[in-house]
Amino acid sequence: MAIPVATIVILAMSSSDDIWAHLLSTVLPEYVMSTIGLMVGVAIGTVIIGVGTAWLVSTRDFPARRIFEWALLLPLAMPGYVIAFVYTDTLEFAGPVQGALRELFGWSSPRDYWFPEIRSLGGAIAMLSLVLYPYIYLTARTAFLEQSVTLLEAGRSLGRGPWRNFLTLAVPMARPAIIVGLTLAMMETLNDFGTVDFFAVSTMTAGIFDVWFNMNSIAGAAQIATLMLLFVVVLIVAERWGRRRQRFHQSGARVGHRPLRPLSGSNRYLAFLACFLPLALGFIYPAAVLTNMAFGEASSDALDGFFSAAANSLTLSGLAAVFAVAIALFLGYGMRLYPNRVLAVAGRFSSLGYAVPGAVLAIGVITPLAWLDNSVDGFARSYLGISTGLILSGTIVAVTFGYVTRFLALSLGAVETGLGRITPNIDGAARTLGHSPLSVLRRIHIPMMRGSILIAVILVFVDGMKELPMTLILRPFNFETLATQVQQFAKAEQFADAAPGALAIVAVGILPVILLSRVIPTRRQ
Amino acid sequence: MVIMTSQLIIILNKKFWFFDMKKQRARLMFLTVGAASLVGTALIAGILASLPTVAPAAEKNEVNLYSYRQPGLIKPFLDEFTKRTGIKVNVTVAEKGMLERLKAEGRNTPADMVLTTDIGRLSAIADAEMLRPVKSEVLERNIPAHYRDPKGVWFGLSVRARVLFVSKDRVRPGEITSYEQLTDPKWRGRICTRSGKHVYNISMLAAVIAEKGEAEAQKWAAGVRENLARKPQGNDRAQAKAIAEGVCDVAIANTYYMALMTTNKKSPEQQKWAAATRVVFPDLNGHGTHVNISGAAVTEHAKHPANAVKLLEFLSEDFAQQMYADQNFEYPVKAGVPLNDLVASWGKFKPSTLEISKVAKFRPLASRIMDRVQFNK
Amino acid sequence: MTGLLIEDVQHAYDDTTVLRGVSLSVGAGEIVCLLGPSGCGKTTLLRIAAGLERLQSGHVSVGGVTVADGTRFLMPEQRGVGFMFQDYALFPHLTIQQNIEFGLDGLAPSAKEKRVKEVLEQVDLVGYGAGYPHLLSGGQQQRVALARALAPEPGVLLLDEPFSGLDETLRGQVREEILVILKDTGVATLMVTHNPEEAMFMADRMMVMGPGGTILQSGGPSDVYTQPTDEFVASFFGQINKLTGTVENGAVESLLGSIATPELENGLPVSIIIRADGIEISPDGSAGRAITVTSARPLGRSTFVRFSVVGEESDGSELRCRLPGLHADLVGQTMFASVIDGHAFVFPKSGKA
Repeated sequence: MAIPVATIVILAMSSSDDIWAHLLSTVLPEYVMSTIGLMVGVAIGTVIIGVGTAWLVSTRDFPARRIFEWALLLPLAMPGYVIAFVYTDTLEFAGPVQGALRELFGWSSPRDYWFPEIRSLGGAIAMLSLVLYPYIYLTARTAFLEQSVTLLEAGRSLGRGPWRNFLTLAVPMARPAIIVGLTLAMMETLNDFGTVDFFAVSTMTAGIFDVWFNMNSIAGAAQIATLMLLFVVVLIVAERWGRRRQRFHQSGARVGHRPLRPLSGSNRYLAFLACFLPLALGFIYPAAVLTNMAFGEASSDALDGFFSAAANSLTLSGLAAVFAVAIALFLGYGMRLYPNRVLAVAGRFSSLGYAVPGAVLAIGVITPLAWLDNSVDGFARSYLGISTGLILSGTIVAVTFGYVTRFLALSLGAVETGLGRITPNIDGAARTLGHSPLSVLRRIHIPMMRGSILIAVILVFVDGMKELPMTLILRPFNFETLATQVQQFAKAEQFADAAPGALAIVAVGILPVILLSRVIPTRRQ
Repeated sequence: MVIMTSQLIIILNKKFWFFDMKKQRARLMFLTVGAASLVGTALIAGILASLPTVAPAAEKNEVNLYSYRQPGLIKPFLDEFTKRTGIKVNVTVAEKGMLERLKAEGRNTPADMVLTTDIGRLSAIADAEMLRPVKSEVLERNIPAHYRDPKGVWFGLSVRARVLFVSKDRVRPGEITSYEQLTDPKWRGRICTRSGKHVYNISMLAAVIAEKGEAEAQKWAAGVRENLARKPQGNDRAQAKAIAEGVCDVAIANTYYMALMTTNKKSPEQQKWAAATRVVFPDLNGHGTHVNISGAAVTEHAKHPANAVKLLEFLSEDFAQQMYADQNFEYPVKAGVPLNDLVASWGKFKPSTLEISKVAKFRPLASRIMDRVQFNK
Repeated sequence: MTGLLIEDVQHAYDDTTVLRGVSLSVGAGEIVCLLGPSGCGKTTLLRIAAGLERLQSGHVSVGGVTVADGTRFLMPEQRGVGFMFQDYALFPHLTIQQNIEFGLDGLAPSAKEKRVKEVLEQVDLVGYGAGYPHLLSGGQQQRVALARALAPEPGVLLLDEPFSGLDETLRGQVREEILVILKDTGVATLMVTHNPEEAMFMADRMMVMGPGGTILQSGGPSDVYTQPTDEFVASFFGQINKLTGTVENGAVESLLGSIATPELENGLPVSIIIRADGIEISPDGSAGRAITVTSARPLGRSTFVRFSVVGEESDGSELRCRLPGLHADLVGQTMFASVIDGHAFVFPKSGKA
């Protein structure tokens, strides 16, 4: 699983002439600054939204709280490139918002007034925050639910108000979980190309593609990608650190049922608004726009091949989810059975794939796969006199392999968290009762971590539905997924025809999200 | 199958515990075997599932195409080709990574032919020696020499001019007639374009380099940047829209977008943008308007080279050329094929006779110049 | 027949050695308690016996069959060893019935059911089979854990701090019940605890392990209690007074009088350990030294008294003892203290101390 990432690093070792000197003296500082700006912005945005809403729904009672519990996850199903498109349409000069303002104030040209430019770093931060906060919401909420009530009561009894209690006790205690969610959000931010490209923000990802295509230097592109991996290594070290602390947490605190504090008066509505806003902006409005387009303006072309594309999307995402989780279970359980540095590093390394832009990772996938195919073919030719051709490249095996490499970080994270919650004594008990490690995995761990495994499956599945760049490069002939169809229509500027596909991606994403939400509150018995 | 695999692992595992005292190795072995059998199972399952798509195609009457061009645009061509010849066309479309996929697949690549929307991609594939020369009288007759590779490695199939859209209200006819004039201070804050790093703009700048040399070209790019009304963004249509909205007065764009907007029945908005603007064919260095080509080539390791040549020839013949003109609103390469009426209504223009292969050569340099002048900032 | 035999086990985590040459055996039907302070490696020893920790050096056999030595390592599931964990480690997703059945995979369904019924009866939890572990009280969970460990009829049962999760009142009751069950089944039991009272209550034989990862003394509970052979062992059973002195003419002079030390050389510096209940005090001074009571806290059956010795021998330090009965009014009084015969333990001063 680490091979694709390793391939990229190896590619980066070949010479890229003087590209770096050129980049350093021209645009690299801007790439790096935009990337850092984007990451910091999205980190702040997602943490505020994710932690804030998680705290509200897990400790306070206010109107529609039970609905928000699951609905706040919905933006996870919204691809970044779709929401970017929807908001550009809404907020740009010709859009309804500015139109209404002009109408209202009698302005006529853009020179008459100032309006925030949606196609900007700020816009990209807003878009990504809106669709990525659910990662933090998910992990933070679990942490808040599992937090010891007595600790927080102790805080109150020591004279802290609820607000200070939240900031000085609840959040620091949930920090490891928040960092886990944040790492995922940050990796998604780094690998995003669709949104930043749409908004003309020159991040390092944009730089990768420029160097790759305009300067014809895949080596230079791989070097920038490798530099980006450094960002991720920092994130991962942070996550490791968070995870270690978390294990400590789990063994310590006893969990009690936390009574929800009813909010009074205007606070009820403020809390409602605080949860409603991210949901409305991140999901309801864009989904409404898509629905409107899908049913109002889409032509019959939109349904051409829609069902086969949907079937392909489902198959691929399903396969990827199953394998990503199975491999994560293997890796995670292997590390539990035999704590071993080599293995731990390998596991970490392979999850780096999540932070690499899909198109770059696809090269990391196709290169070794095709090499393997060609070696087998060469062997068969020289010894058997036949050609086996390409067995794996250009098949759904290659695409699935790509997905698994890309999304292993998601499944490994969830599986490791789940395994970390099971005390080693449980393993010991099962082993001494006559069961082999695999039987223990099957009969004890997997049932006990149903929740975590389901989360892993769902995260990979939903992300698989949205996956675009790898699919494009790795797919077989005449093979479309919903995402490639959406892209195809969008490229041809037939946005209305792109809507049904986009809506389907979102709809398919919603189902598991709702399932997921049913798992979380009941996870603790 | 997975359960069988697990059993196997248990047995292996036990054995290693008993006999191998180098436990580190035994552990690694356990995991390697475990992971390998899992992946192996996956692969076998996958191969079984996907055999129909990878079965040897030697005898099949088909041709495999790697396309940079969107399937919607090429589908009518290919359907007609299949109808006429009975040869099935299999397509994979991607803009990024096709070259790397071709390289990685090497002699076993399933691709017989590549189709690109610009010379940059085409020449990159040619430079990687992934293409084979084709000798075809049909192609040589239909395609003028400056739109194809001298050695017959690649062929241009349609021509697209990178022109100016100008505001009907705010720019007088004849007020701007050349690319050089874009740097005139009178246009300060009045020019719009998409990203300077987009292939179309890179190719345009490469043409300027080919005509005037690096130093002049850099001065030109910096001058254009000075005059930009806003940070480069959006696609070519968005520039026409910006003119309609009064954000700017002159935009750099490809011709066919004008036609696509004008004829867009689904979006009256776009017709309005088109109505607000006019096409100007600017001159570059006295040699005519900068053009790019969409083109195709047969791969070095093609399994169906004869079919690929057939397709290539079909695309250069009247029927397909007429479709390029009428459906895509491009300029056909074949002489005598009439333009689409709308396209013809913009007037005649002089396409640059600059060898298209020269433009391709200067693309990396053009990209650097864009960086040096901070075009996108 | 030997149930469990452990010989010369050494074990280290990274650079820290936790077990140094530990050997012990547990016969069928015997309950052996391994007593030691937290972190002395007792749990590691249990885990090695069960195969949950890999043996690094030494030899372990169960029922006469070698399960681990230099070349052989039998996986825990193949050893036929029952293990009861400190936190019980009940499988939360399985019912009580399923938890107990978990170790009975080889049996036919009817045999399984029969066996589960038997052990549930044994631990007095008939009727609880369908419930989930979290619905049970601590004591009940503990009995389920025992039933689960006993169900496959292991040759050896390992108990890791079995009573530490229970509160004081429950603890006494549960350990009585468990003692009865263990005696009934006749399984060879090795129990690990840091609580001396628990160890003495359960053990047929007791071993005390020191912080250095070695067994300091073994024997019957009362032998170990009354004849500790090591300063650490002597100090481990409750509160003590530690004095020092030097051997002169076969005796050592302490604050509380002369203690005979016939086996020790003259001139040897020694530590004297006197347990709190090894000191007698009375208002009548015929036998002891004069003391002043500084505090007296009634505990119920006895009173905990602190006092200091009066006179020129006094170095001002306080000693403590337990006085039977309730005596709240002793503070400030002068009384007389003496060591009960055989309750002072004298050991040569160890090099380090």
